[in-house]
Amino acid sequence: MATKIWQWINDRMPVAKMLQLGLDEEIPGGSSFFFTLGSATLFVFIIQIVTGIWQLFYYVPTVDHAYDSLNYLRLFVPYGWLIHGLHYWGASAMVVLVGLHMLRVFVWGAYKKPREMTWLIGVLLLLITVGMSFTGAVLPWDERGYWAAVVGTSLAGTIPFVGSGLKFFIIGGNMLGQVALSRFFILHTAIIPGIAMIMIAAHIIAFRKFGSVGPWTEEKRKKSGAFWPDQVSKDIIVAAVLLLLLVLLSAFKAPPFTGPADALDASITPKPEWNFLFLYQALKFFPGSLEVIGTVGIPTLVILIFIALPFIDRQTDRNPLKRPAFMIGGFVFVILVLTLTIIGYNSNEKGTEVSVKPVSKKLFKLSTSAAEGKQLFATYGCIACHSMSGQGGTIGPVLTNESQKGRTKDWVLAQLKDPKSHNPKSIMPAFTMLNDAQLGELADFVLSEHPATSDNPVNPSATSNQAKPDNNASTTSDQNNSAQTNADTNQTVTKREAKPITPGPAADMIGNVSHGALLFQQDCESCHGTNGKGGVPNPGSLSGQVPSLNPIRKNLYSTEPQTFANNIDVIIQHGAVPAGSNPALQMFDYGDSHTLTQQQIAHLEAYILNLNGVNRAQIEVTAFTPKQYFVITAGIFLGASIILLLIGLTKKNRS
Amino acid sequence: MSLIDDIKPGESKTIPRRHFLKIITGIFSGFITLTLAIPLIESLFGSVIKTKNKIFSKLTAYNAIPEDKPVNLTFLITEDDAFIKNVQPENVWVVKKSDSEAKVFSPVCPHLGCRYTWHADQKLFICPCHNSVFNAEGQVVSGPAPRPLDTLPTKVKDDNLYVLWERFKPGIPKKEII
Repeated sequence: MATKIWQWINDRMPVAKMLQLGLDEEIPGGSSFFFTLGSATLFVFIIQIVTGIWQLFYYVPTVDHAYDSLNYLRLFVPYGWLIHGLHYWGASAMVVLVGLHMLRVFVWGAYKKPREMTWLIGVLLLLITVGMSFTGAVLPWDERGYWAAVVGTSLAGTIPFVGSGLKFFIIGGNMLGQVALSRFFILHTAIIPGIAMIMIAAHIIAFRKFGSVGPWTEEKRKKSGAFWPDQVSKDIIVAAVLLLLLVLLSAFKAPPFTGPADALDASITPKPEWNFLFLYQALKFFPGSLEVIGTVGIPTLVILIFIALPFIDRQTDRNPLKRPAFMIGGFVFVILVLTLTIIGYNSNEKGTEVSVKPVSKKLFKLSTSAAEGKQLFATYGCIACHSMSGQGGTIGPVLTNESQKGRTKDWVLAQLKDPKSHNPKSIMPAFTMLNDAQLGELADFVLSEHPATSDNPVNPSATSNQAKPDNNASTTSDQNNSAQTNADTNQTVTKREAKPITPGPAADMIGNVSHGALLFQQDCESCHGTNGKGGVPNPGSLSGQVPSLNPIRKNLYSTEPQTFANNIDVIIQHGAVPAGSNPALQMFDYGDSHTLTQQQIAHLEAYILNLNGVNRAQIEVTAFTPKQYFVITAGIFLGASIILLLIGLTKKNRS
Repeated sequence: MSLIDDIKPGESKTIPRRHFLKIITGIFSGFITLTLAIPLIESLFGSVIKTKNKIFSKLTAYNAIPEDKPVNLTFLITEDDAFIKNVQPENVWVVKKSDSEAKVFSPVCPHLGCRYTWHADQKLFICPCHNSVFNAEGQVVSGPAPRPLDTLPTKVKDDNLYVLWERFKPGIPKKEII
């Protein structure tokens, strides 16, 4: 029956002939695992096409939903983690395989006459791979993708003469936004893959015309092997191993959740994808006006060399030993790219520290005593109400310039011991729990010279308080929702304006844990303690301490990440007043006051959940967890391999 | 049957080997296909969101609700539609018994899902679709309704009444959340 159908089809369409054309080929020197690199690249490309299309069932290319829709796929769709993981790691695999494939062709001298066209199309396919890698990374519109687009398009903008026009054309305006995302989307899902498919077809046709190049020594070329099934079986083994590797990476090293794109966030150090790191690192050698050499000159030169290669290296002998100049050149190039990639990978890991360095070049050195005071300033919650160098709370006056106000140490000491001594209406708590030495250190710190600004955006209301050091009680009344007090208050702040108890947008965003840790250090640690362990005194509150976040209060905790995030988001957005007669410290309304962006709040929530052992980016699984799925896949693969090996051995014995 | 007739004369010795290579190709092709196809197909069978949005919506100030007289109150609910949050109005029937007790009924008739109304003259909830009748306590007085009116979880915070919006399966005696 099957034969009849096969016959029927072939009478009407030359399928068998086409297969023969594709498969029936003699390989000089026989099949080889070296020759699987091209087909492996094609295999991963097909995976990219399939998983790419599948992602489109869920992903939407809009700036407000791109990140959420992708996370929906990754966390709530069965095997969404695998589909996205394969695509993410497949992209890296593509770059590696294309590189190895080119290197193999280079060493074998396979670009020589008559295969120049195959090589040239190959160079074009390299550029296409790079283009796919760049445009694809932007699409999640997360911190990583957004900043990759910012830097990438800015690089395009440095090209002489056409740069600014080109940049405008790519991003569809002056600002990176929805139009730019749409363009990246169309480039990544339609235009570039369309060209890629045509070029891959051309590459394979050109390859078929002259066949495999085979070994360079005549001796080895004498024996030959068939493409089908000899080479194909090797190709398929490599493909299966590659797929297993991609599943492994997807299961054990999921793509990072870097948080939604935040144009206001200065605490991130944009760093390109690993495959662009060598270029990123090379750029550092070309400062200032020389930059264009790095951004445009070097990549153009490399591509030109690639294109020119078959026309320079024209001797017919393909033996690498007889082409030493080319081999050394190629070797140096590979080493250079690898070295730059490794340096780039390791460089500036702590680049985020830049954000807390003072802008001014002036050095602000603290005396030993003042340095101790700085610690006290943070741990005793001073920073919760007073800001210093652009960081801290807004309830009390800014203390950056105390040294220039002619204050004496005695004045500061008196203020610390009894704030009402200078202003009867002051709401500042008396810091009688500190001993004299500690008070002295704190005073020394406050009276030291401090940098005026910080890279961190300053809450605008903080600066407006600057001129009214003694009037602290009434200056913040314009902030309706923040922890405000009335000057004549004896009834204290137990009750505020009716607050919404609903979570804000941040509760639905998936933030980045390590980014959250950094923000926590800057904004939360002074009150909630290192790693949220608590222990910071809060005079006037019922418990006497700022609540610990690690572990967090039971009624806020939930094993369900969304519920947990909702619970704490309400507090971070709208603030809270601790129970007690007159709590010195209160939780700010970080969201309502726009002190933090929603994205930053999302990072903090991911971090706080993480402190309590809850993963904000928890995958909701139906059948198998990622790790189980890998184990099953690997088990089947191993089982099949063992059975095949046994069959192979028995056959050998029989013959 | 081989895929193509690729056996040439004089090659018969190598046939077992070639056959074996074809088995390898077949088995690993199958492995690749299954590893990819099963997740791809399953991913199209919808999402697995377990928890519904459990957020209480504010109705009104508790004091503002009249006692012993059902009132219909409208509020906004947030519903999840995949990765998009939809905010839309909903309404409930509130019957306040005393300063400490209030019942909040889902406006959906437990019979077949129509929306009932309060008839003040008869002091009864009557569903227009099939004449299910309930008293102010929500109990079935007459008609085909299989169970009393569905109450919704409430809480009082800062003197305001909050409600958690839920939907229930109509037509069955048991109150079952959808």
